[in-house]
Amino acid sequence: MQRFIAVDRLARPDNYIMVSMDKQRQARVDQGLAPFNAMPYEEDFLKARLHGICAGEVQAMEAAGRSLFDFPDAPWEFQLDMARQVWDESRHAEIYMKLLEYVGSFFGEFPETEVLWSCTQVDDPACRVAGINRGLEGLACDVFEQLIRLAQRMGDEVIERAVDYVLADEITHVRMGSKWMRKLCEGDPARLKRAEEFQANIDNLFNFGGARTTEAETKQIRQKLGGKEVEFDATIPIAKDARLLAGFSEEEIERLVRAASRSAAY
Amino acid sequence: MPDLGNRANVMGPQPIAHRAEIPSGVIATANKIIDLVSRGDSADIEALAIERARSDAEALAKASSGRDIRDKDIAAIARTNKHYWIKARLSDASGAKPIVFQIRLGENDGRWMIWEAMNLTNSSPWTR
Repeated sequence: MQRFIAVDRLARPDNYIMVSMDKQRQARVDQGLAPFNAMPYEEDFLKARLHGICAGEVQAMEAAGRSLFDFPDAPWEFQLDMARQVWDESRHAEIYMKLLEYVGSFFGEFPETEVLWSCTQVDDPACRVAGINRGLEGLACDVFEQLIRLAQRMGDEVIERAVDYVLADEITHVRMGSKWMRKLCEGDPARLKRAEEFQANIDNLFNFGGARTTEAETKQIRQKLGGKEVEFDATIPIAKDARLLAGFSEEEIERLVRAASRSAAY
Repeated sequence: MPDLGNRANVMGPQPIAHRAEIPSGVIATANKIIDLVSRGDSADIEALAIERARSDAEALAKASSGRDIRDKDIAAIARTNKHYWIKARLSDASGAKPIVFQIRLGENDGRWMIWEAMNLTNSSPWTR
């Protein structure tokens, strides 16, 4: 079996639509929408958001499996953590597939993009866990925290509880990433710097236009939600409490907020 | 032992919204395009594409030239908001590798038009 699967070698069934992130963004722009993710004020927000997360869970499952396979010389405990994560992500994928049905969608209704898998393209396990576990799973904490608050506003306990259940696992995954990034880089500051830079690139990739900040400071706009007009986040806030639980330091979160509020990746 | 009811009768949470239907015009236009590609009819395909997608649409028609296409089908459909991605597959009797292409259809002045066309016969949509 080949190690380090390139972005365009990730297998999918023939009856499945894959689209590159660039083309996906173009399709949104062509319809007069913001180029990045569906936002709460869009008609299909819940379907599109849950679908994006579901595809992310599938790719996260594949990425953790790949980390297990790609780095056979990594410590046994690292491999055990990655194996555990494969199990967790597969359960998350199933949960989100059920949630998609719940909101009147299905896995495959929207295209899958390569952007998450592209974050696996590195041959150092420290960078891999920095990017996937701390970068992407950290973003998952932000997205899920927002989704839970959104479900609370909608009075929807099914979404609220299901996502809360998944968020608990994601916090553990980020902690595992923090632990292994530091442990694998012990006594090697240059390697730690590379891992942190790899993660910073991924954090920047997902700053959604550069307007992200903490939940308390996120701009609120009026939007339709579950048939009601409510004030809700204009973008995806950085979930400070969840990230602290996940082992991010105050300083790391502040750095993330500063970077996310100034740069515009899209 | 209390009566806990019959598990098979428990329905669980029911969907809160309906599935979105694919407009019939999308399917009709997709089938028409598949037919045109299978016949190598580049002029009519170009007429179904917005300006910036015309050369890619024309290239699709050329991909089938010289092949006697026997089977053609829509392999998958997905959407980005109200634009539809359609993956199609064309096979000939020789057993050669099928032609696989993907188009994006969106409404333009009330007509379903090609906004993007990609030949995926030898690449992935994620190939850079």
